[in-house]
Amino acid sequence: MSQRLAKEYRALSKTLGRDPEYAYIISLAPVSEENLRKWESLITGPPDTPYFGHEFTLQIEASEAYPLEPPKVQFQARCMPHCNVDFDSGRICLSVLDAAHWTPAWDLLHVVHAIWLLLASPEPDSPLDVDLACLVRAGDRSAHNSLIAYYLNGGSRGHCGHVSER
Amino acid sequence: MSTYEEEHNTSGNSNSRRDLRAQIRNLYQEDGSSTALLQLLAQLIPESMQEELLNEKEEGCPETFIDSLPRVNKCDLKGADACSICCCGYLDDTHPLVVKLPHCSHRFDLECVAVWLSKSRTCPLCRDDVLSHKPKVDISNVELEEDWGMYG
Repeated sequence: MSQRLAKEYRALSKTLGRDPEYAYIISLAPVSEENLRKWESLITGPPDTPYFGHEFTLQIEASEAYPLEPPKVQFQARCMPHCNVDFDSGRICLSVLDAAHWTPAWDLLHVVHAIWLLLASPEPDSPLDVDLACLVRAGDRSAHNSLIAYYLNGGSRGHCGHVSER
Repeated sequence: MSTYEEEHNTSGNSNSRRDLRAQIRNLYQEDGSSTALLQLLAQLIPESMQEELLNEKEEGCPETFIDSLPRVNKCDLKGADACSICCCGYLDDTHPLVVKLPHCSHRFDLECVAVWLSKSRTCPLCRDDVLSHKPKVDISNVELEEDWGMYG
């Protein structure tokens, strides 16, 4: 099982850049080849969301017990305004990252994909950001989206990785 | 000299014990949801042990279940088949020890799935509760099986 991360790394180099389904993943790789337990991923926001056109960094840490235990994944602190993400820490509330819902048949690519899908479908019933969850619950999409756009473009919550006009 | 109650670490409150007895009798007589009965029985043992008993019930499969998982014959494994827990091809190993789960028939290396099932009761691939399906022993075909299940 110790080779699992190495196998994933090898498989990813074939999948990424070829499979159009994962075209949004700019990178998903270990921070250093010496330590395969620490990974980082750079993704672009999904289309038709206020995150589109922005890039986000995910920090991934797989424990000694991975894949029998889920990896720890979070966004870079103060970069992701989302109702299921704690803005200050970047912590993500997602069931598959929870030990009770995790299965060892999942891999890091699945995890990143699940998080990317979460960006497009916020889950207001288990919020870490109450303000945004309230807007989702009230069905006020335009207020929700413009609040996120405001934060992403350097609004008062802090500066985020905005992609400059190309 | 200490009393019976002190020695056996039970409260001397006979009323509460009578209630408990009545509840247990009721649960036995009704069809008896086993969790309610278990919780009630757990009240009879010290608190520290209660937690252990009730939690253990929640997660993990008994070792006997894991040991009894049906093995998959090497001839039935194809070159590309791999264990989805370790991602290693079964045939990379000259003596693969592969088992399948009852009901869903998903296959894994015994070594990998044993660790998983010691902490969980679900199939890693379909999340099926592996304990909810008692393996049916089909005796109608026993005579037809060539190797009599005697391969190691």
